[in-house]
Amino acid sequence: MSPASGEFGPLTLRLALEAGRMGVWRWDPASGEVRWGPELEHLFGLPERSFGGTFDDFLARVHPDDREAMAAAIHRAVATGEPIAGEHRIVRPDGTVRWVEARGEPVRGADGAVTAWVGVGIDVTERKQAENALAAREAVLSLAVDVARMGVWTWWPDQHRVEWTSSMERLLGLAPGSLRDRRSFLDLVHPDDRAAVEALGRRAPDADEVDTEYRVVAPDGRIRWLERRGRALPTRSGEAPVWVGVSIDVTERKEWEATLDWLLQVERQAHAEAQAARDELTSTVALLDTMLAAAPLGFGFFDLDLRFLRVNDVLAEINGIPAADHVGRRLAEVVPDLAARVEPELRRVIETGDALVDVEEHGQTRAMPGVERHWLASYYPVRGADGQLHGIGALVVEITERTRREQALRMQREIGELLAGPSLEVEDLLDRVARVPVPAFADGCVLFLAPGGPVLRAAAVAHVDPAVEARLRREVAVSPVRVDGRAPSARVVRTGRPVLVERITEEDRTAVAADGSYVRAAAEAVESVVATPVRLGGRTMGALTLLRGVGGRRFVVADLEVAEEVASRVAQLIEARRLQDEADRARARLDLLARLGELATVELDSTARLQRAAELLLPDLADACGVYLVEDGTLRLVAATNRDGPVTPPAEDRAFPLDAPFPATQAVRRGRPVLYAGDVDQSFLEVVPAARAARLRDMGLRSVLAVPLPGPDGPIGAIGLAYTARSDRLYAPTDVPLATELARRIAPIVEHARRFEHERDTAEALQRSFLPRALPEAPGTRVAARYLAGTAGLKVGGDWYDVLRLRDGRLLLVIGDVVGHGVRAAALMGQLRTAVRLLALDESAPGVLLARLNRFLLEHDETEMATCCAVTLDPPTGELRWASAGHPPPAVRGPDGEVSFLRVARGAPLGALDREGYPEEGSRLDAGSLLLLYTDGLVERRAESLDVGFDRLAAALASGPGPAGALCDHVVDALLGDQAPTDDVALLAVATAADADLVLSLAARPGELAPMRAALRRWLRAAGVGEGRAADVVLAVNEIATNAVEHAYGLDPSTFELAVRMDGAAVVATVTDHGRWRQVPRMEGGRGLMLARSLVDELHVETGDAGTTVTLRARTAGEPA
Amino acid sequence: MTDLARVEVTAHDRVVVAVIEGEVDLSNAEAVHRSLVQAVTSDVQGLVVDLRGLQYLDSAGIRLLFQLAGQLRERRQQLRVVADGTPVRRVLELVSLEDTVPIDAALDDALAAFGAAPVDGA
Repeated sequence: MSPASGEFGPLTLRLALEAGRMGVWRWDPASGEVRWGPELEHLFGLPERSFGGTFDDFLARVHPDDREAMAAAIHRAVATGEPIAGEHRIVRPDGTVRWVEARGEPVRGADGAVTAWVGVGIDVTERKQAENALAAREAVLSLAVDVARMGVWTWWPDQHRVEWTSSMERLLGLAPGSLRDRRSFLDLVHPDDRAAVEALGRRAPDADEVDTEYRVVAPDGRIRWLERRGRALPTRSGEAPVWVGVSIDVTERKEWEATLDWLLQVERQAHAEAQAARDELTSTVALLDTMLAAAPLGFGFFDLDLRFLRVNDVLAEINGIPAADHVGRRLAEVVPDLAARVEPELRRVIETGDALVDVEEHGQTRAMPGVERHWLASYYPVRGADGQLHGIGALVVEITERTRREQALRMQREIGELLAGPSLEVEDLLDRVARVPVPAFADGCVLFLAPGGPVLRAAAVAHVDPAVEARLRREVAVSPVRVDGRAPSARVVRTGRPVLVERITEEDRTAVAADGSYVRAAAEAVESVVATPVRLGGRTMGALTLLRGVGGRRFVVADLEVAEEVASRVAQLIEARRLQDEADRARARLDLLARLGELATVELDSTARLQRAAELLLPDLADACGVYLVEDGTLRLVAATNRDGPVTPPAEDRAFPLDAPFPATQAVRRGRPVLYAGDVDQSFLEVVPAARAARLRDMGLRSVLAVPLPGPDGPIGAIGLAYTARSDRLYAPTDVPLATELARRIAPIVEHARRFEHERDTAEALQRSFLPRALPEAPGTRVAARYLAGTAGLKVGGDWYDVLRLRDGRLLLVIGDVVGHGVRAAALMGQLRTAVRLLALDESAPGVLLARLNRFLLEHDETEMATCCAVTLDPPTGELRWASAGHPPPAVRGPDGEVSFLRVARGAPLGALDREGYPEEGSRLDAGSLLLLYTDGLVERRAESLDVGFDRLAAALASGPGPAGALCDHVVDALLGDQAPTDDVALLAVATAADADLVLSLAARPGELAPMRAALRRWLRAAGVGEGRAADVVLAVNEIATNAVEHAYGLDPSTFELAVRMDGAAVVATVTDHGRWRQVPRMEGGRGLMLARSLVDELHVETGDAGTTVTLRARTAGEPA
Repeated sequence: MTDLARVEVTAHDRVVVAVIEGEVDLSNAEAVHRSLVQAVTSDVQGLVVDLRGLQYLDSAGIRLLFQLAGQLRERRQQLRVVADGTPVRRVLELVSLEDTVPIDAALDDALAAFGAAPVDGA
């Protein structure tokens, strides 16, 4: 407000004074006089003209709290010349307090100096009171604003002006004073909201209130939501409108609202989805219901606890309870027979989430108790749109009929395969047949055969329960089903028509029991039976009886057809098997006849042949067989066998007088076959002595057929054939022709064998007579030989050997094999042996010897041939020379045990070619070696390479004992075993003195004698020579050694050798010195030799140019004199 | 003596007893012979050679006995042999020593033959 000026006229002033509730004053500082207008006195509450007129009077009226400040302000104005302006309170005389605004201007003179002050006092109490009220409200508002995060604004729309309180700046996180104008505000508004806020701010809204929300971006980047609420202040008409309002930070509310919105949205969506899923499921189930209501498919839906939620009528019908009664029930309550199997399957679907498709289920339901039915089921997971598993759906198709067909086909196929499979005994075959229907189609099966008697024979029994099977087996044997009885199988056999007993009643059991066919096991374990005929060629030959009862299972009419098909297949099998057996038997018989014919040509002795013949007849023609021959008015059993092998009956069953009552003797006496086909107990056993009858009964004899063996002058014996309980067969008259034919074939075998044995005995006797009885030996060698006649055939007579001591001390060893056998070969062998002995008198070189033998043989007989090997051995040096004429190479085992074969030229046998000589080879045999000569029978085996035989020989030699004789036995055992060789075999072994023998080389001095004796005693003791005999040997050797010492020449350190070995049970000692004993020994020396001679059994003295060798031999107690 | 044999000589009245143990062969026969000859003085009736402890005797020893018997006979003295062991006794029998030298089974028998007191009484 500008101060009143002097220009205002008195009226104007008066108007102004009255309107403004003011008074004027004039103060003359020089005089101190103050003059107030009456309005001012009125203002101060003073009566007119009562003001004292001094400055102090004025000050006294000022409120004490403001007095000092007022006085100071006035003094400051006077001092500076500035106008006076201020507000102060006054205290009226009545005590009321008023607010006065004081204004004053200096009055200046022409010189410009202040002459007086004039001014006004204005009563501003009203204003001040309003101002104070406003300030209080402002303070409260400010507080509220801060607390509520509000900014307060004032808006003048027509001026496009807005003002904010500082709280707005705080609210927005702005520095104080930064919110200067609208522009600066708009910059803060979120760009997305800016246009709207700007539009709003351009003009005043039509309404009296605004309430909008917008976002601002605080300097820190945060987005805040502000709610702007404003109201137009009431104005008088024509006045510019003013709006005041607040902007509230509603960010948190906005955020919370957003969260709430989101939650609500999510909830709404979930709700919608769940609803959709429910709708879909409902519609799916409804669709399925509709679709499956009339379809032949059982449909069920289970919740995750495997309780039925819903089933269609088909499944309800299958399960045998109304659809509604399924709901909420478990499988175990609805289909107890199936639950154990199905529940785990459903659980698997839940666990894996995968469908189980085409699962075969079978069992019984309440719909048809006792009837086993089959279904094909699929179980699949049912999920909502969210993939969540809601339950399990089940689709079930009944396949009982199809399964029945499949079972029928399977059983027929299996039965067919039995015939095509590995060959089985009939019993085993039928047993397998009976097991085919068990357990899939039936719990038990009995195959009855009707052989024509009063009862049925149970050919095979099977049951799923082994205990029941054992009882069934026992009971059908003990109380067999009678053909004329009431048992279903009996009725089948009688009528040829199938019988079905769906449920066996007590009456049925009683009726069956009444005729003696009662089968307890069946009665207890069987509740349903179907029996069907086994027909062959239009004849009912038995019944296939199938049993059910386990778990209440029973047969229904539909099963009858299956059973009939199986029975028909069984009949085909039995017939096929019979034909097969027939064919086999015919083939076997042809084969048998052929083999019997062969027996006449192989070289076996008669006993072996007949044993072989008897074995050939088993098991096709007999379970036991005996061959009897007439010898000296007695019928003797010469061969006997049963299906376990050869047998030797007690002596009284091996020889019978020809007039004894016995099938074999009867056959011989009558010259015709004797047949006991029927009941052996009654017709046959009564003719034999009681003891034998008992034995025959023990062997389960059932049927006997005895056939004479024809000879040129009547029967030479008989064959006895018997069937026992083993095969349970009987002989029939149709068997007689074959048996007669067999006897016709066997008879010549006997004749042939007898001739053969005679010749073999002759040849063997001849041959043995030609073999050397004793073998010469040389010092340091031991010779042994073995000859084995080919007893298993007519192989006797070809092999021979000989050993000669040549005049120079060497040994000549010869072994040979005359090609061919029998008496002729034996004779030639004898001639060769004699020839060797003669030739060796002046020729000992093996090659030359063989060449001459060859000439001898060629000139003797051009048709004969022989292999031969000749070896010379010089014992002291081991020098070996040999030649071979087509003979296997001699084997050598060195002292180290190494086995080798002497290299032989592949020369031709003697008598084969006319040629000059046979190549001669040589080598040296180490001390302690063993040389083995042998014939091919030792190493040859049929169908085997000779190399294998050589290897076997080498192995036997390597592992064999040292002494020549023991070694021969070992080799024979190892290569031929216990069996007599088919070919004859000769072995000739020479062992040279080894380290095991005592060999001493001693200085020819008396002092050597005692150690020599000590060594000799030790050796003798080790060799097991008794003390007394050992003393003799020691003394004798000592005497000879003493001679050697006494006759040693001169002063040279001469030596002598002592070699001692065991030859069997005899001690052989050789003392060799290098001096020559005097022609006439001294008396004492002679006494020593005499003494030695008297102590031992043999004593040879050989005096040569090189020295003297004395050999003594002393038998020990073990050797016969 | 020798390693091989030991000779122990004692006198019983006027009889010399020589016990030979071990073995006698060509290597020690002469030595044994010598010691026996030396043991027999001219004043004794004779010599008893006790061979019961001898393990081995061969023709060299026998030769010794025959020679000794001859030598004593020339000196009017007698040689007797005591032997019971089988090997040695057997040798003596084989060479018929008894035809030349009397053989006793026990020493007392040999002494008695000389009229001497038994060994136990000495």
